[in-house]
Amino acid sequence: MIRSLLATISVVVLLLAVPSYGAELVGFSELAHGVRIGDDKTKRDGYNLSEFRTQLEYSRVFDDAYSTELFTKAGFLADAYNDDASVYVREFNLFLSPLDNMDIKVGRQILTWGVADLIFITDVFPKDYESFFAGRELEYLKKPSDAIRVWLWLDAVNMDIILIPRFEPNTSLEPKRFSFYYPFTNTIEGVEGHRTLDVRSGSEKGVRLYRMLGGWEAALYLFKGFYKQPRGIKDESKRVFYYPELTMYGLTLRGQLAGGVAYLEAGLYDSGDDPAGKDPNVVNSMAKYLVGYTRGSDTKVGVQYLLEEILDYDNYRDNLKAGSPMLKELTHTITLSFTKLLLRQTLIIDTFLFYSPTNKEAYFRGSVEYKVSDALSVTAGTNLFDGSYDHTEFGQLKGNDNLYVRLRYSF
Amino acid sequence: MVKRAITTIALLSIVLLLPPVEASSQDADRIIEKSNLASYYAADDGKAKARMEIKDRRGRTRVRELVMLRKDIEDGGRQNFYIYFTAPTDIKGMVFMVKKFPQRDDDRWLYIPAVDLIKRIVARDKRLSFAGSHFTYEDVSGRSPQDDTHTFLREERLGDKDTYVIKNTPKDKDEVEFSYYIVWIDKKTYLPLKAEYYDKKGRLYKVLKAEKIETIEGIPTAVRIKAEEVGGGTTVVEFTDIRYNLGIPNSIFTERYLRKVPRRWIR
Repeated sequence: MIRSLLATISVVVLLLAVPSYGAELVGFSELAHGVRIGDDKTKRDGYNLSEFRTQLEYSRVFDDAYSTELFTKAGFLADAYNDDASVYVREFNLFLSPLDNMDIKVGRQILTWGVADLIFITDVFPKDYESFFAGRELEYLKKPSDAIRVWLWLDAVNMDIILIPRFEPNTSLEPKRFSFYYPFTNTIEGVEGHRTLDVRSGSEKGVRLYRMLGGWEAALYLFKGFYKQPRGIKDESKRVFYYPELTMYGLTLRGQLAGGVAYLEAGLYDSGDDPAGKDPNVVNSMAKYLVGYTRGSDTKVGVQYLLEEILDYDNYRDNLKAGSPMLKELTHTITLSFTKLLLRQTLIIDTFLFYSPTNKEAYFRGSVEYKVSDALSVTAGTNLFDGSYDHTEFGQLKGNDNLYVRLRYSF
Repeated sequence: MVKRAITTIALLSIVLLLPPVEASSQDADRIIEKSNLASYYAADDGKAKARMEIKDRRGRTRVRELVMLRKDIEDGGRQNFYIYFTAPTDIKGMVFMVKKFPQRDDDRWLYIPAVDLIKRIVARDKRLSFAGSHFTYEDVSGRSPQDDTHTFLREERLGDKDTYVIKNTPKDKDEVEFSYYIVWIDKKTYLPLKAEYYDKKGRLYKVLKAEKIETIEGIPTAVRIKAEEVGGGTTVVEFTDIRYNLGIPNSIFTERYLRKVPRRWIR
């Protein structure tokens, strides 16, 4: 621990000593408060977000042969919900070009794959769903990874290779803060909820091949790692979840069509710990297909259709535990989005609706942001959930409806 | 009676002495073509830093700072743009990239570094505000001369410069918010010095003015342009650090450089 800290400090000192021509520091402070309007009993029934954060961004460009850049994004968070304060590092990486056709980014960074809007098929990198549902800025949905990323820019095809030495799961919803479904009791639990997440150590690797085909961007993906959600149960009596092995094969295509942007994203999720789909404690393999279309810019409308198929469905059905809800073989989901920029793009109305007729569930997120000045902005928003069943993705969150306000001062 | 005959003859001779209408509109096409080249295709490539000051009706000011790279594939035709935002904080680091095609919709991308996201942007809506300013996307990357019919109106002295005054009427009225615009083009440099935009009811609603022109590396360049909404706000853009014929490679305008800002050209 001390050794790695010393190593980090010496690297930073070394970097600061190298001649550079651009060094910049910017940041913001933000106050956020979210009121619960759902009716479930949780740790604090009045609110599920109340915090103050200051985040700084420091970048430095070095005048070396590899055009190296250092980027750091770190912050301080005082969280009134959990009565604690912490320092976090969101990004800390070096970005360099050792060869004419090669870039490398090493360190803590945000990784994104795929083309769909708020539905992640080929983007198998960690997310923070607590931030997403509690009303933090959308940026925090993406959770950083400690990774080595290498890009090779070749004539025929470009390659994007990602190595993650230590697997990092999603930040799942915190029990007691959110009420959600527990398979152990087959009910939604709030303040009484508890569970253990067993994160095994393991490395992950992925590669993306892509190129332009006319005006269309085409990409193929392969990823070997773990599910980011705890899709496996390790010990039922002790309520222990774990993260099963995952291999993902993916495909995306994106281009202009009839004055809008059309895209396609498909993925095959191969569940490594349950290849035949017979283990009721581990998620089955799945195939996911999505098509989407957006039109407009200052007034933007988007629609997406997602089809998810449980593979080896017969085995799933035959081995289902007694009393467990049975998932359908095919799940249909539709999303609609509407964004409007007003007053010279200083007033931003943003809405997004997920609706699944199969699962009889819906999730609406909406926000209004007003940029009072270049420095000051106010955002108010809501997260609303509904569903007929307790076990579905959004249906289980139906007691967590909230309204939130954020005040941000940038400098 | 005699008086009326004289008037008629006088009017007739004026009409006969005027150059035929056909010739003027051909001249107008040629002038607009040259003006398009002078304003948007100077040299083979170019770089500039821009600072936009956006003022609303109540005088509240917002500032946008960016660095812009341009590379022409063919004069008057295909062109690439790379725009890197440096201020304010909430858009710092974003990159807007355009591949302009005169015959089809442009390809456009926006890179948002905070979430490592490359967004594909719809290329229609060219008349919308660029980065919240009073300039449109078309003001930044040029309006295709083929999109309008051009009518030569007159020659006129504007300040200390001789200009051609040309009326431009859109061929597709539904695609734009104006019914026509009139542009004053410097006879010497072919740079547009002023443009007046008229709405669907024929009322003047926006004026663009090149407030300062400098000769940079032998190329006359507008270095300060003001866009003013009648009875509304204004945006003033000032260009600094302008360079031409840098030899910017085509590879800059690819996905690679959305993430990796090409510092050699941007600095």
